[in-house]
Amino acid sequence: MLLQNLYKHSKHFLSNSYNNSLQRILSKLCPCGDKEFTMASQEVISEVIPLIEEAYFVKTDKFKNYGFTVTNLHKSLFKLKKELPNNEQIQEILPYYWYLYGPYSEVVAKAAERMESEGLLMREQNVLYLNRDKVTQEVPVDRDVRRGFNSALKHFNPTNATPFIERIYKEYSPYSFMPAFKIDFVNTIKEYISNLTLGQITLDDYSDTSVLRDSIFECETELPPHPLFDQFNTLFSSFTTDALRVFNYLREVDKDAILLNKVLRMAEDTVWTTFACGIRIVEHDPPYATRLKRWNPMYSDSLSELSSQVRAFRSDVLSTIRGTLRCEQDEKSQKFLSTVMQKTLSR
Amino acid sequence: MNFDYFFDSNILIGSRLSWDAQYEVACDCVDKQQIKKRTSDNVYWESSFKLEKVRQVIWTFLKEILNNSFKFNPWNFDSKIHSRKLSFLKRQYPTKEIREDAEDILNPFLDKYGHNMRDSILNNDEIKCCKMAEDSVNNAISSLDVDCFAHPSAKIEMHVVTPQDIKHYASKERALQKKISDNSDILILLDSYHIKQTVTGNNSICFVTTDKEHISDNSGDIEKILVGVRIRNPNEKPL
Repeated sequence: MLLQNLYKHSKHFLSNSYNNSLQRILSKLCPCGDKEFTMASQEVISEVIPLIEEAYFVKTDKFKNYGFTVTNLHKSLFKLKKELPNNEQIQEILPYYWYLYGPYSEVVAKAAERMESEGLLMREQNVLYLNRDKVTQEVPVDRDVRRGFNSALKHFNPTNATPFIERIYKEYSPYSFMPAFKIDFVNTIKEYISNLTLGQITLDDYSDTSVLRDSIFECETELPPHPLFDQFNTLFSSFTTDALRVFNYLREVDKDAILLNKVLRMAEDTVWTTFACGIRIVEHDPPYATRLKRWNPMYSDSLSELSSQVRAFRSDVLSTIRGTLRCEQDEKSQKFLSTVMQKTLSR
Repeated sequence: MNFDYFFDSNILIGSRLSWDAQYEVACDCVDKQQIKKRTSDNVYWESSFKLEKVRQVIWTFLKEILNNSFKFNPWNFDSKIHSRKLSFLKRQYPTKEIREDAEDILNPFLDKYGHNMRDSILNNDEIKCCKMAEDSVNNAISSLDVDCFAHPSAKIEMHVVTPQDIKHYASKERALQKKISDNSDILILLDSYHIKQTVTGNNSICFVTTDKEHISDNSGDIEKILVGVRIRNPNEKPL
C-alpha cells in the first residue's frame, strides 16, 4: 500500500510536469500491490515498530513532538543501520536498497503503515507524528540501539531535514555520481532559476553560467563505472551535450530560462528515474535479490524511455538554438574544464 | 555517372578529431565541393554518441592526471602516465569491449598531445593542458551539429530513416545478414539504400566508409544486393 501511496504522491507531484515519463515508468513499478511485501513478515515488522517509536524519543530536549516525513524515517533508520555495523539483528531486520529518494526499505514502509493504521502514528500534512497518548514512554530498546540513534540523528533537524538527507547521499552513496547529480547539479539549477525568478541575479551574474557547467562536468566525470550503466552513461553524455548547449544559449539569449527549466525537468524526471531503476539492481541488501526478475526488465524499459527522451530533448534544444550554433573553438564560454581545474588548483 | 555521397559514422567522426588517423582524408572527403553529401539520423546519433564518449573518456582521464600531477616528475612521466592509463581503464571501464573502445580513444589522443601534456604538467601549467584538450573535443562535438542536420542547406543533409522504412527491405536485410555479422552496419547500409530509393532519384549513392572488415571487404556482395549503392574508401576515386 505504501509503495502505491508513494506512486500516488509521485503522480500528484508530477501532474504539471514537462513530460510524463516518470509517471509512465512508475506506473509499471506497482503492478503486484501488496504481494510485493511478502518479505516484510509480521514478525519482522513487529521488531521494526519499536525502532521507529524510539526515533521519536531522540533529542526530545531540543525538539518537542517533532515528526518525520516517510522519506526522513527511511533515512533515519538507514543511518541507524550504518551506525551499528556489528549489530546483526539491526542489519537483518532493516534491509535497504537505493532508489529514487535514496536508501529505501520496504520493511520500514510497511511498519510505518501498520503504526498509522493502529493509531500509533498520526499523519499531518505528509508528516508522521507519534501519538503520545498511545506511546507515553520510551520503548525498551537495547542500549546499543539507543546510542546508535543518538549518533545517527545528531545532525537531524526536523524543521529542515535537507542537510541531513544530503549528508546521507554524500557519505553513503555507492557512487559519487549520485550526490554530484541528485544533490549538487539539481540544486545548482534550482538555485539559479530561483535567483532569476526573485530578481536576485544581475546581468553579469546571469551571463556567468560557469557554475552550471562545472556542475554537469563533475557529473560526467563521475559516471558509475559499472557495466550495468554502460548505456545509461552514453545517454547521460548526450544529455550533458544538450545541457551545455542550453547553458551557453542561456548566457546569450534565453533570459527567461525556459530551456533551463526543461533541463531541470529532464534531469529530475527522466535521467534520475532511469538511474534509480538501475541502482537498486546493483545496490540492495540480499533479501531483495528475488526482485531482480522484475527490476531488470523495468530498468531496460526505463533506458528505452530515456533514449527516446534524450533524442526528443536534443531535437527540442537544437530547434530553438539552431541559429546560434557555431563551432566554439575560441569561445570562452566553452572552457569549463579549465575553469574547474583552475578552481581545484587554487584551493 | 551522377552520384551523391553517403557518409558512414567513421567519416563523420574522423573528420572532426584532429588526432584521428583518418582526419585528413576524412576532411578532404567531407569538404569536397559540388557533390551532394548525405547521411542518416542513425549515423548522426552513432557519431554523436562516439564523440561524447571521446569527451567523457578524455576529461575523466585528464581530471585524474591533473588531480595527481604532483606525483609526476621528468624522470618518471612517461612510465607514470602509462601505468595511470592502464589502471584508469581497468577501473573505469570493467567491460572488456568498452575498455578497448576507451583505449582506442586515449591512445591516439596521447600520441598527439602527450608531449604538450608533459610540458604543461611539468611546468605546473595544468590549465594550458586542459584548454588544449577541451578546445579539440568541444570543437569536434559542436561542428557535428553545425554541419549535419535535416535540411537541404546543411553541409551534410541528414535523413530520418525509421524502422518502418527499413521493413520494406526485409529480403535485402536477410541477404546482408548472410555476409555481414554486425547488425548496426546492416541497418546503416539499408539507410543508404532507402535514401537511394526515395531521395536521390537517378543518382547512385556512394557509401563512404573506412570500415574495412565489415563493409569494404564485402563491397562486391553489398553492391549486388543493394543495387545503386557503391562502397568506397575515402582514399579511392568516388565512382
